[in-house]
Amino acid sequence: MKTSWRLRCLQLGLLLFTLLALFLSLKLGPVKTSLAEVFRALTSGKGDLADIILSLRLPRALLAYLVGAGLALSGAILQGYFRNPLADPFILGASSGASLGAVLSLQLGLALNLAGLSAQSLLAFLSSLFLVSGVYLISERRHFQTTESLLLTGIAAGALASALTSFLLFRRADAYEQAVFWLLGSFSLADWQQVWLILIALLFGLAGAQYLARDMNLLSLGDETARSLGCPVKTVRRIFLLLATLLASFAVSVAGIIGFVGLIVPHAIRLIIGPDHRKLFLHSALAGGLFLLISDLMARLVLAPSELPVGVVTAAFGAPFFIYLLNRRRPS
Amino acid sequence: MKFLSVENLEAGYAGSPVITGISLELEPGEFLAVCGPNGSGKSTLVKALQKLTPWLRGKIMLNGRNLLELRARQMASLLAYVPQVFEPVFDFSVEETVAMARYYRQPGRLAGFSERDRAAIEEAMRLTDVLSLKEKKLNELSGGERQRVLIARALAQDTPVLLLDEPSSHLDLNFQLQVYGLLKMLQKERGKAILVAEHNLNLASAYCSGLVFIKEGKVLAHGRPEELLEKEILRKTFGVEVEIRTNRSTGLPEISLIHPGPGYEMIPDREIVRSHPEEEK
Repeated sequence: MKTSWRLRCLQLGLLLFTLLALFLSLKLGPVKTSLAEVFRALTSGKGDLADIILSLRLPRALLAYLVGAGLALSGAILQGYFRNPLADPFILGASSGASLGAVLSLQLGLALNLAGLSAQSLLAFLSSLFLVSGVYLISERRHFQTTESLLLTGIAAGALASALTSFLLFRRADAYEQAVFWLLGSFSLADWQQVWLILIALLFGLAGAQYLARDMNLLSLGDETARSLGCPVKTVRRIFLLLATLLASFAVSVAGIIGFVGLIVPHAIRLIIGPDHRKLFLHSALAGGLFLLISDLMARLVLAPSELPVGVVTAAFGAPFFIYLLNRRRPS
Repeated sequence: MKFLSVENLEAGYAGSPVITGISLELEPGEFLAVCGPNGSGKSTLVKALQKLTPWLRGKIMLNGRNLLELRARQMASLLAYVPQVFEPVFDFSVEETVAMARYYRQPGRLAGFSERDRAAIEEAMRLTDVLSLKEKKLNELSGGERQRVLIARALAQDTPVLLLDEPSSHLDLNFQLQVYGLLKMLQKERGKAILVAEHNLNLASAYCSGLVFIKEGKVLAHGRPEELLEKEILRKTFGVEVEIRTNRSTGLPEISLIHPGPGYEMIPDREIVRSHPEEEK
């Protein structure tokens, strides 16, 4: 069948390019390293440059991959949830909430470290979760049908949080530069603790999404149809929203706001292998990881030795690719 | 105890019930059509039978169990539903769409389709004549083709009861006959209990074993087609003048509208019906 052939090609492509991108991420950087040194560092952990490769480049590459996977998965979940291919992980205000938390901690000058999360990350994570939960609770009480009201409440709450963030930045211009770098996303502070944290969050999210993927197929037909086909709509919706929010909040807390990954990756994968969420979730995650790994590599290399915010790269090179994909699609 | 029995059902939204005091029964091998003017509560009734419209009062027993106690999966094994409108967002193929009817039967959430599932999916597509479209995306289909895919999905669900909300509304004359012929076969040969909301009275009376006329959310008349297709009842229900004839091919009564011509003024009853627009979407 045509679809399964496309699936095989996608899987092969993802595997090859991920290995290649991972290898390049370890080899390329301001300090020149040879092939042999990368290999030696990975196998024995010895050599002059092993430290750079193992405690700087490797965790950074892995973190970029995991965050990309988490954002793409979160986007895939929310696109199904809202039955709208334009939804992304930040649609309910996760990003605005996180920015507010991060900027607030910069202004307060908080300093601490918990499980690899700085005060800034921690506050970003908490305020992101807080904002989305608030959005959920407010919109649930009002209406019988919550999808539209949830979406609109999310947009309104996001705007409010953004306004507060801008206000804080406006009052304290000295924090501006630090904040902007975080607001556009970066992996320059990656470490192993963060890698483990995001890995656990991602595996949890992926397992949950995969387990309920069938129900997401039903939900994407509309709640009434889903119900009549045997899906416990309310419970499933709650779980998916929780998973998507956790994934987005964790991603944002370690890497800042990286747009576009969660929007275009699931969309692109859907164009390639079709909308079946049983395949879409896993492959979106794998492709999102690869996409952000390459983006971070480019963010490091394009203006080396200085770095671009990775969010700039994802948009700059994701958008044209996305437009190409959309136009390639046969007209219906 | 009947297979499906509805007692004194009131459903709709708090403060404004759309249907009130509805009682009806449905047995295997019965084919019932709910007819009534726009906004009379036909669709609401069909949806309320699956708890898709909130209930305010009443009780529904299905296969000896209170409907409120059934879980989503158990409901899906007893009732299949064909909605009136369906707007696909994602590009699922016809086969994938029909296959979703079998999800609830899979033993685990990660299990694949069994041989029996595949056979049921294939048969449902064959009966509704969509087998040749199975690789197509839903968005590429015409309204009539899509309607048949939805019916195929309901068949693949393999339930004793089928509920259809205006199944003929997107179909041309030929497919209307096909779909009703198929439903008749399912009723006669497989003993399905079928309930449709239907606008076309002649179609309903030619194929259904019973008709229920509702108006303003209440049952106005209930009986066999030959009992209900009667001038006075139709005037009361729909506010129109008709002639009753006998269809030569079925020997059953059939209505023929008396067209009042230009300058027609609505019979006052019709106005009242118009003041309940919730249903008509």
